[in-house]
Amino acid sequence: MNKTLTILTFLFVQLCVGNLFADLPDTIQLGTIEIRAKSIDAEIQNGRKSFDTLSLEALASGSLTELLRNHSSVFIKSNGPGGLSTASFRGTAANHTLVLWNGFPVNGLQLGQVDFSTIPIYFIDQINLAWGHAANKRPGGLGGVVELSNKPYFGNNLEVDILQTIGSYNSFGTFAGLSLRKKNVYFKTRIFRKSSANDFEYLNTASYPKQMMKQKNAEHIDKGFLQEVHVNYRKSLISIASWNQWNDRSLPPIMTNLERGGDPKEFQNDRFHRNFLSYKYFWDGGKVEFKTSFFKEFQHYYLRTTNALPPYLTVSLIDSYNESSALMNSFDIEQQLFKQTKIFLQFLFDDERVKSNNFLSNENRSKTSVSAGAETALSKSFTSELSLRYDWVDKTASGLNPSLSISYIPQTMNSLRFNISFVRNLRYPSMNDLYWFPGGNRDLNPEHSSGADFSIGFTPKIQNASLNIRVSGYLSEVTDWIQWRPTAYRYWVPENIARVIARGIDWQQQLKFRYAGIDFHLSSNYAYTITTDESPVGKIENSSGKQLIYIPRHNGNLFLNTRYKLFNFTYNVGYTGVRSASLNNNDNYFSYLPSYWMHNASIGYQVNFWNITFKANNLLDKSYQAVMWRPMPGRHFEFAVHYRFEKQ
Amino acid sequence: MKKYYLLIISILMFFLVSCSVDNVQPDIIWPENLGKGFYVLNQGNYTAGNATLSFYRYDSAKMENNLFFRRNGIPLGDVAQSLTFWNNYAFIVVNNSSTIWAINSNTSIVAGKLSGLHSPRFVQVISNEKSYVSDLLTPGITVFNTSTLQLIGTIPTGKSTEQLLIFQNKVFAANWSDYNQTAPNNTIQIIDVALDQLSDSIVVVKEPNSMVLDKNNKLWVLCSGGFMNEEMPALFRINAETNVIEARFNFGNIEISPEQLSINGSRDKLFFINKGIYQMGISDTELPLQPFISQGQRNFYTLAIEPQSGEILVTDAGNYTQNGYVFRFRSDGILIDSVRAGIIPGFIGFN
Repeated sequence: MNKTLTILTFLFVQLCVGNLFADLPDTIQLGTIEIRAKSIDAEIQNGRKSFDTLSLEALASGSLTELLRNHSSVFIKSNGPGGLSTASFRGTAANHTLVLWNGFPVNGLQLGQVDFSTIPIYFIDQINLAWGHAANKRPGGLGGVVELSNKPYFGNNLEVDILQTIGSYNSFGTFAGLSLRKKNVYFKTRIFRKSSANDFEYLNTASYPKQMMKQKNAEHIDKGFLQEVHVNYRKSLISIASWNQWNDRSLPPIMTNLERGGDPKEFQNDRFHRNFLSYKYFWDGGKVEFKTSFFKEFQHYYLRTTNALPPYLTVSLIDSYNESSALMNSFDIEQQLFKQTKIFLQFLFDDERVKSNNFLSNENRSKTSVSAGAETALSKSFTSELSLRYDWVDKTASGLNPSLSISYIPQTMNSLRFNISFVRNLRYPSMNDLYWFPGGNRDLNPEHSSGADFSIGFTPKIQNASLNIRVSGYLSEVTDWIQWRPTAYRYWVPENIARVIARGIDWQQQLKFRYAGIDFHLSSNYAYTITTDESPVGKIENSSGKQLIYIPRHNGNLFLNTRYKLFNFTYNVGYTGVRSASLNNNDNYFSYLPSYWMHNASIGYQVNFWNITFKANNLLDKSYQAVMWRPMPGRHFEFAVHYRFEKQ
Repeated sequence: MKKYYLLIISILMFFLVSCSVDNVQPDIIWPENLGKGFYVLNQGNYTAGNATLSFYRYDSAKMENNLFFRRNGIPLGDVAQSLTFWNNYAFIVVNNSSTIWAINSNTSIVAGKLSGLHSPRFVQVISNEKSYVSDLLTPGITVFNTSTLQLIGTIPTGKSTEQLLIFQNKVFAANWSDYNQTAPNNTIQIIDVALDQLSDSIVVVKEPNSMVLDKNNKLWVLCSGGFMNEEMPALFRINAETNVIEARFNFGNIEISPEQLSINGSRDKLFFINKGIYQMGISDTELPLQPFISQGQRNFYTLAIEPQSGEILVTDAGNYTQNGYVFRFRSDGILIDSVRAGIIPGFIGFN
């Protein structure tokens, strides 16, 4: 490790003395001492997408699932309303999507993935997507990173925010927030409660005969509490936040399994408590930040089946308890050097622990990362960012993971931006991969990814309008991809088998303009993705060259928002292409899920402190499945009343 | 500014058009009788609902896959387990859908359905009025009316049951699984079919996974030794009339899991899978040392011997997520052909 540190230090010094140029891209609002670090150009933000407040407010009662599905090209795989919902970037798997809350990963330690349906947008102030080189700050985000942040806004006022929703299938949501802003103190409390019987009707195409049925055993109740305190003192900012949530959900059977006898019951209860503390100190041209967090999660999975006839005695019972905790720490320092260069150094140390009755013993591991890098403007047209990260797990070196991004703006046409980036990253096996009994494989290696991305951005200067288009093409390779495989012992074991190559094109566009007194906001996202296993095993098994399961080649959406005086109208169309549910050829009809369009609309009216919204989802009452034999609701509605009061 | 709007609209139009190119076309319904051949039941993946039914036609030497869906327009269900023939019908047990389909065995068209079960595994027809169903989780055998598919009752066994085999007035039930139960899974239980009661049991070795009856009315039971290889795998020969163990053949390696005991049409040769396919005469005094057919790169999963020709049919489950294969061998072990089936071809049945 000493040798590695020496190398990193050497590289860091080289960067420092290399007369490189860059700038701080961060924006931090600190009341009277507002530090707005200037960004020499927006291109340095390449590899990122930020969701605007319009999108967040329109979906305030929803979860990240709805936001990503309607406003990005990230593919969402959902088991249904309130059910497990995962996201995959650019042809990778759900556990290759890293989700950070104020810089710390919230991916479950056991599965390594995040259920996006459990993340309320109401609790988040800023949401960014990052991919490629921008997703390389931590291990894990081989596909990309979803960054969730809570931001302080100092001032001198009191704000009360209450949102009440009522919707189809006995769905209710209550959200409330209280903010107290002072010159140097920002205090905010947020709570929510959502519930739904989720007993929608659907056409069961798997029943005999086909018939309309009601979804059973799918109710859920989610409750949450978020407390933030931020204190600004001279050039320091201290932040404390605690995010606590209780998610109880019943788990419905698939459409083919509705006729089990007896009185079966299956549910999953999740509780998590995420706490973090940060201290930032700013000086002219630089800052230092120390953050520490402690996350605790509990999961209770219960499956009880009974004999077929009364009195329904229990004949099988799975009562699984899983408990995990993570103590995570980070230290960041940034310094502006010369006129257009910024250097940074980051140190991460995580301690992870899991206690599960599915493991033979309690397990823990530590992860360490050291990063150094620089952002610079090489000339008026060229900017670049270089980062070198070295990782260890339990004192075992995992190797160097560099990233490089170079941007070019033609002087003759500065509405165009070109960017090329390269990145290498890794993801550690999840704790289940390592320790699940039976089958966990302690000898697994981390998955490694290498990728290149080329993008063209177009932001013309238009009077009374703004247009932003970005098209990017990418190629990435993930080696040692972990797959659970059957063995001679009849249980499955994870192995570093696959070599997955993903390539594709991303399109993002935003247009805002005003016409005839109406404000228009039109955005579109589209992803064309080809992702295949090219490993030797894949060739032997004839799966080579076939699209990985549940990743569509075509995925996109359109979003239109118009505002006229106190009215607003939103229309959203999403398209999900054909997805393969297995790697077989198409001689099995239900190896594939057909493509579908999804139309949603809402209309709102604002008066004084009140905002009233009526939403219609799945407007065309489309019968579809996002996951094989998991029914989805037809046309359904939501009525929302939002009250926001502010007093100086 | 207009040119930018036109640019956006053009690109969006392209996007809309490009999104519509990859729809799936459903299969054409196939309207004829099946003819001579054998069924293959493909388990599919647990909780994926992708079990399928295939039929191999001797006249065309082709496998007709996804037959149940193509004939009936509905999926078979989740984890298809076994197939039992009775008159012109076949009972398909779909384990995780807790369902038994009754199909016309000549056409594969659904004739009826029995639901409300728990975790059904195998059907044993007793008479036109009575059949037994074993259950992976319930400590009992469910009884239903063979003709009407009405549930009649349950025979308590105290432990889960797997394969069933009728002999004279009794049914042998293998207690294969110890999942979620404390009762030992090392017995063959005997059910009195007149009384529908448990009458006796025979202690063998953990996980008796398959049974056959030879021409001398000897019951052969193959035990794999346990999920975690707790005991030495063994093959037992039991006198079916007296329920007495006459011979025990130990495999000599606790790490292996021999399965799929099968017998030929003249009921004098045994076959089983232990990676490769092994053959053994019913009067042999030792287990065979060398496979009759080597597994090679294949993943042999289930085995059946065609009663008339003696053809050896074995499935290859591959990686358990893709379609598997069925290999046909002559009775002397020479490969005839191989055809693709569905995901995890786990049962072969002869009409």
